[in-house]
Amino acid sequence: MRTRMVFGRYIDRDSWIHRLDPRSKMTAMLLFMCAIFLTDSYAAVLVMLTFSLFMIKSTNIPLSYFARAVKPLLFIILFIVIFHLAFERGGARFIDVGPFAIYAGGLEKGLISAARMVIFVALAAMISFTTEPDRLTQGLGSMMKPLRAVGFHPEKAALMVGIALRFIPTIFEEAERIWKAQLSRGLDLTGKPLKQRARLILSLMVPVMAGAFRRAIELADSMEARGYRLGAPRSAIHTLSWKARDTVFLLLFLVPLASVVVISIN
Amino acid sequence: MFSRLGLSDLTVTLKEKSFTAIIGASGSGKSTMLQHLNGLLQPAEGSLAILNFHLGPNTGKNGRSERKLRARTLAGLRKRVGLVFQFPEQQLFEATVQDDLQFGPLNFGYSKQEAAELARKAAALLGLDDSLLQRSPFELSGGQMRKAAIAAVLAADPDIIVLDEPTSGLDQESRKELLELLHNLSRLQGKTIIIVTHRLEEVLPYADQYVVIHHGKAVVQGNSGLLLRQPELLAEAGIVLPPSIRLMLALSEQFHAPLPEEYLNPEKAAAWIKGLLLNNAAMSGGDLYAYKNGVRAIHR
Amino acid sequence: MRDIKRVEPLAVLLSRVTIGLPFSGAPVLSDISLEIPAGQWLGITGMNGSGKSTLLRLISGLLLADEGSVTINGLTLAEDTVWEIRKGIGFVFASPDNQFVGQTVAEDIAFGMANRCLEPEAIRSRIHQYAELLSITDLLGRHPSSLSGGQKQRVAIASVLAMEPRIILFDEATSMLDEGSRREVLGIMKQLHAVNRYTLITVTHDTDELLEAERIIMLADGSVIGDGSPEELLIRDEWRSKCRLQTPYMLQLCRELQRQGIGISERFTEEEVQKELWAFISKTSLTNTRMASCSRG
Repeated sequence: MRTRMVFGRYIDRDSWIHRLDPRSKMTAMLLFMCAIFLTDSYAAVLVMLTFSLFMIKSTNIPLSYFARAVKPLLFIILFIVIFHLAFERGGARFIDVGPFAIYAGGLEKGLISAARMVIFVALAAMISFTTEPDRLTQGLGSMMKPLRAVGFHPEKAALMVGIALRFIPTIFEEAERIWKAQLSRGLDLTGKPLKQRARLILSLMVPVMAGAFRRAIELADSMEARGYRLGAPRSAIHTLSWKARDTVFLLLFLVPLASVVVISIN
Repeated sequence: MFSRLGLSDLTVTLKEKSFTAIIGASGSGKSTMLQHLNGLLQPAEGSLAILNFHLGPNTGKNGRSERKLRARTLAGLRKRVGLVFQFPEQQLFEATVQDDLQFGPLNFGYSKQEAAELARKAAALLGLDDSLLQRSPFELSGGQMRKAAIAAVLAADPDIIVLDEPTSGLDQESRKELLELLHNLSRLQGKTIIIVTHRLEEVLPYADQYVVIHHGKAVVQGNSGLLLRQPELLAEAGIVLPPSIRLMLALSEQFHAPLPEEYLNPEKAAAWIKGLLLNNAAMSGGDLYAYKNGVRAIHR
Repeated sequence: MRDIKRVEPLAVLLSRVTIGLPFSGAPVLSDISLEIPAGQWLGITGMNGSGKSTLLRLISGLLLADEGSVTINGLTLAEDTVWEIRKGIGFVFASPDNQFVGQTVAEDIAFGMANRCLEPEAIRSRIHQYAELLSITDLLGRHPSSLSGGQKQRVAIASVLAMEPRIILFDEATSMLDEGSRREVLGIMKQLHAVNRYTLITVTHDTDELLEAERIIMLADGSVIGDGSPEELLIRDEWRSKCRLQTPYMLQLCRELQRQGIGISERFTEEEVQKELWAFISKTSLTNTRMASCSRG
């Protein structure tokens, strides 16, 4: 299971993107999201693709890692393409497939949507590949600071996110083990009415929940014993410092955004 | 990077009605092997014969009828092979201990009455009081929960019981009690017991067969005498030699005497040592100097 | 050498401490008094529910006593001193998984230091210092789910040491490890004791872990039933059985040997038994040689 989760994994390489402030990467991602949103032509896709490849190249991480991050989404992407092919009727009529007809417009929309998705996922993967998870949560906390005015605690939230990310695989493993234990005690859902199936699955959640509570209590003890105090100020391993290269990195992302806007207007 | 294979080219034959200990350090592949024993994992290559069930490699490309056959084989297999996972008490989920104990038998097609009877029997085998059966599993003490969870597997009346580190987290006395109980199950009830453990020391008094697993392969297979004779292999497999074995090895070397045929309990070990000493006395004290050097060499 | 008796300062002083269960109030520990000098390695044993873990929680301030007082490094434990006191205490728990806060090893070691608001540079340098000490430098960037139990316990110890405590508590810290890792962690405890900077308090069911301690106490039903050197306490059958400890193999062997006429003293480890046997041989073979020479003469 661990090996399958490529996403959310830090890959230690030496590159200027690795050294960037997590906040600049996250802000850049917001800009990139806007650009993706406005991408609606082959030309725009081309710009976005070139830009992403340039970014990916700069990370010194092989392209295959990014391919693996995209892979789990292949099914959804395929579905989107087929959906557009089947229901979009714009442009020239290409071929007839049974009752359906494929139009150039459908093909264009399908391919562009697929490309948008692939590009976005690859670039999102770039952030998680090049930023240590703790810096990512720290950056998140720091970026949410303005929310403090409305009674939100960014540090607490960041710690919470971090702990959740840390324990998700553990709890999944535990659930898998419990499931296997019941399978070996003859649990067989096939052929059972839906209601009974639902009841069984729910009752199997009991030990998973009990386990999660037990872990939470022990974790709380360990945190408190190490001096964690709710709401007290804390320091961090890293100091977030915004350098010139962060500004440059952010400005770089204005290039695809501007290009896409121009293409879209014309 | 480590190989993704849990086991590679493992060949093991286990006798029926025996008490077998599978020994290996963490990451040796012993837990993978154990999950093969009731088909939770299926071999990618090779085959598995348990009782009269045969499982060939699962290629994942089997036809429908083959899949059905496999499902039926698995159901049959799981009824006869009970698997107790590590920390089994964490898997209890029903409202009462009684319900949890009945869960297996009911799944395997016993009637409600039969299941209740089987549950009571299993509870009695593990020394759980009848009054505990109506309680919620979460009200029991740690040791009782462990016993209830093992009883839950025993309730389906399997012929083979496989346990993954059944004693971990228990105190010394409870560990001994549990092992004695399992030993009795194999001796008196004719069950085949297979224990996976990294603590050689605690199974030595009970097991009659050992399999040492290292990197997914069985490196030693046989009785305790064989273990005594291959300490280097054990050390290589990351297994800590228990003091009893260390003492036997050291004494046999210093006295130039053959190793015992198999593991000796304290009583037999004392007799063996007495024999060594008498023999030594018979040879008189001429070699005393050499012995003293021997002691120094060992304690260095 | 000057003959001056050094008076060791007390690391822990419990006086007449009583604490009950949160709801029923049934006593978990009743009227316990205990002095632990700085630098000592104290082992605590007792059956489950005897109050061992409660005792450690009292010392670390995770629980506050109902009656009596707890003094740690000269400070009396109370609501307002607990944070100060905790700075001097490290706590290693049993579960390797559930005490791992960070998403990486480095982040976990940093956690306690960040709570104390240490400067980032200081945090980083200590991470490297203690990772090296525990040979986990290669693991600093790893996620806990890719570590073994033994590796996680090393991280837990590193994260405790990084806070530079004077007292370290181990609550059955080796109980969930495999035999090899257990030995390794025990080895680390020995090293920590040898540097003479830490007071170690270890709760355990393991006889060989208890034998490493300088002093052990046995708890039963919330009271101290035995307090002394491990050898003198563990040799007593009735005390061992009250703590649900088995008779170690070597002790059984010595008793069997005695029963079969080989008069050696009772020992716990195979090295000591060997020594005893050699002493026995040299004694008897000397008599043999003497007897041989007598008969010749």
